[in-house]
Amino acid sequence: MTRHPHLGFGIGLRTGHFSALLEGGTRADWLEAISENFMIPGGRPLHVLERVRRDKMLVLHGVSLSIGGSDPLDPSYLRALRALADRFAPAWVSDHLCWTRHDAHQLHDLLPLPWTEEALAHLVPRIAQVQDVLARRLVLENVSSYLAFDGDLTEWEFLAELTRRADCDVLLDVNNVYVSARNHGFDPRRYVDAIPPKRVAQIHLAGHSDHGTHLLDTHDAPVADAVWELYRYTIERLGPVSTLVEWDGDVPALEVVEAEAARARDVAAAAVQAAHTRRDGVAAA
Amino acid sequence: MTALRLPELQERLRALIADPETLAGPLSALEAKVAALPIRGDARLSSAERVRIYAAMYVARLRDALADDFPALRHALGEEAFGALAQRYVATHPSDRPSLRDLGRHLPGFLRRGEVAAVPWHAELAQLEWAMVGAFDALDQRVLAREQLGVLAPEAWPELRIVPVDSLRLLALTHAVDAVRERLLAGHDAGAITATRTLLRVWRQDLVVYVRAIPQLEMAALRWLHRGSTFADLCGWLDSVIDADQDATHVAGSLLARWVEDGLLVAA
Ligand SMILES: [Fe+2]
Repeated sequence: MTRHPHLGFGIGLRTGHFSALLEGGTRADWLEAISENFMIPGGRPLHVLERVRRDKMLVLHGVSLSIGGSDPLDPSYLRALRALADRFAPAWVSDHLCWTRHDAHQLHDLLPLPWTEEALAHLVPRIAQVQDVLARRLVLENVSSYLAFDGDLTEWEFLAELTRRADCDVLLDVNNVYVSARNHGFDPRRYVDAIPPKRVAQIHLAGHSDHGTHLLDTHDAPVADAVWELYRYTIERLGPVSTLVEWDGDVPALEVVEAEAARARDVAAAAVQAAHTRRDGVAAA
Repeated sequence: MTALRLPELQERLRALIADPETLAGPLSALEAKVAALPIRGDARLSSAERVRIYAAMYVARLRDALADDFPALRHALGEEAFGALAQRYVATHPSDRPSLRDLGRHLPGFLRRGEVAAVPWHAELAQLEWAMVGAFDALDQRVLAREQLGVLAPEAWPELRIVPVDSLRLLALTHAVDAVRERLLAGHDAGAITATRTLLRVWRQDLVVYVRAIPQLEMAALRWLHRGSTFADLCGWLDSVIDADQDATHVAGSLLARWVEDGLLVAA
């Protein structure tokens, strides 16, 4: 079981929904905002964030921390993130287990790390530095990847070990697990099985696209059936976890994304029920 | 085992992802470069093809970010030319800030310097669109309201501070790109564009960004105000620039009324 509060079933805050959110709010339980989009002086985005925060819980989700990068962590970025967190009081602050910048060049992509002892040793003090500045435990998300390096560990062994050594938590993106599993030919259930349940703060669900030779993490479609199945498996194992639907490309009407979050609620409820029944069955036998 | 240390590995991959040759050049040339990296390939995708996936996403993401901020320029150029411009631009000005919000800040200058083939008004259109991006998320400020002026004691008027809002941007251009922008965004062609002196103010009022063409005197006054000043200072300055038969206090009053109407001044 996770030790984090259960926020329910949320959606990502996206510009295309600003008007709808200001007019009618949202049926979703909570929202996730991309931190960098709100590191601005003022205007409509911050106004919308203030407005939705009045009614709903929020999580700040970054894309440019570059926790795995070789450049030093950017102190002005960390200060801006801390200020944003102080202002909006998110349930937690997350970013990705990846690197996004090298030699001051921002790639604006979530690039994979080699799963090596060297990378583990590199990450641990950097995570400590971030947790110091934020005065919060950092939540790190597994990314979709299209290439893998030679390494000492599997990605899931690496992530599990990292949570132990760095005392950080996990945002388990079930779609990313599935996409990477297909792209690198591993069993996605082995990945899910390896993550310490109490470390999982949150789950992401999103759509991907199939390019034959590989899957792309495009966030521009409904969640795929195979990912719903992996989500069901994950919840059966972990119990209830705050879940969020991401939709970034060809963003449909707010109701469509809300409906996807509602579907997650149904799938999770059935999975929790199935896990109980199984446990009770074992106890009765 | 990875033979390369992490910084070296990241530097080589960064360079390959950002290099246009990774996508445009022959796969064999890329394979030779990628062979030095500890990247795994398999029967479905070689290690070089996997690097290409990242290179393609890199260009596409940056192009899309620029398209969001320069929608009219994109219409003016068309998809293909805009994509080529984006590629040239990010090769010259790679992103160095955490947010994509800042990516386009060098684009008007890039076009102005003629580093890509472009007609003169393209740079001015980009300048206008970038000013709108800046006004959109500028600092929120309490603005001077008409009611506040209504209750101002006569003796307080000279000392009234006249400070423009942070969102205000002033553009002195040689083409009417404000009208061009509207035509392009309405789905029309840019039309025939002749050189004509165009003074624009861009600002945000109640979360909405506005663009307005203004006369020479208002432009000069707003430029002058940027130094910070009082109503008495404004009257004094106007007196030195307007015709002798005009009343500076009257002109200042009508400018002030217009600015307050548009939410252009910060409340004291
Ligand atoms: Fe995600």
